Amino acid sequence: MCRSAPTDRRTHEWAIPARLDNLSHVRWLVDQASADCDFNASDRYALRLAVHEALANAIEWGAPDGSGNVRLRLEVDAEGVVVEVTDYGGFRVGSTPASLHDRGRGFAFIYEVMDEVDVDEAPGHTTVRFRRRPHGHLRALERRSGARIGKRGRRRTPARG
Amino acid sequence: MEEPQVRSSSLEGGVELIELSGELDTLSAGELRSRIASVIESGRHRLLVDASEATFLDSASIGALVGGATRLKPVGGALALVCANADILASLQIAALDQVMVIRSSRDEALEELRRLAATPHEDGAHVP
Repeated sequence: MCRSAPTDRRTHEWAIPARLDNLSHVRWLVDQASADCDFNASDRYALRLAVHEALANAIEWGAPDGSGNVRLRLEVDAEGVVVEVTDYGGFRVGSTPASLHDRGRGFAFIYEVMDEVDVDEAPGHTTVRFRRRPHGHLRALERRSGARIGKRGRRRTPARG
Repeated sequence: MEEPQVRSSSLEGGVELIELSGELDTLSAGELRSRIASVIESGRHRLLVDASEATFLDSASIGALVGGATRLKPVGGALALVCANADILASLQIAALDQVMVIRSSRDEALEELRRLAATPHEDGAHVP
């Protein structure tokens, strides 16, 4: 796994070999990188979960670049962490009903625990981008309490093949 | 990083136990799915999954639990999950796991619930084996 020099003090980019056995180390890297942010334990868990799910989807259903990598970019600022996960295939959540169900659940987590979620498809690559603000709320818990759930940014249905 | 572990054993009263610890993700979900399938195929239908020592559960791991609960229900079985980690519990709520299985914060409470379910006739008249 190669890490480029930060493009600024709080921006980190990694080219990650597209293998699922890298994910536990990536979760650790993300947790370390978010240490500069005013995150509590739940913020950090939510960030690790969302990055994991996005990368697992990119590795399992997307495509690596010519060197066999997918890309992860973290930007840590006063408003939290912005994450970009890029693979080089079309945006797919699985080709069978069973896998569609599983991958759909993974993206449901991202949508529920992040404050903004966006999926950009372009010829040759797909980027999933999301933001977590410090002390963000878990949407599921808000829903249980009957609170209205807001969502900033675009939200696209991932069920496209 | 905490290495994932999936251990299984038998408890008194015909309850099968699967203990999870560390970070459970896509790689370890296959092992969890396999252990659950082994319990069900052996004809034992009261399953306690103790995730007290788990520090991370991803969607694949949660999917394995859902799959187990879904397979047990039509045969009159039940899956009870022990979990007290607030972040993991929030994930379980997102996946609506609390609607397909019993979730308790202690093993004693989960066992009590499993025994109560076993004593309750299933809707088709069968008792939990």
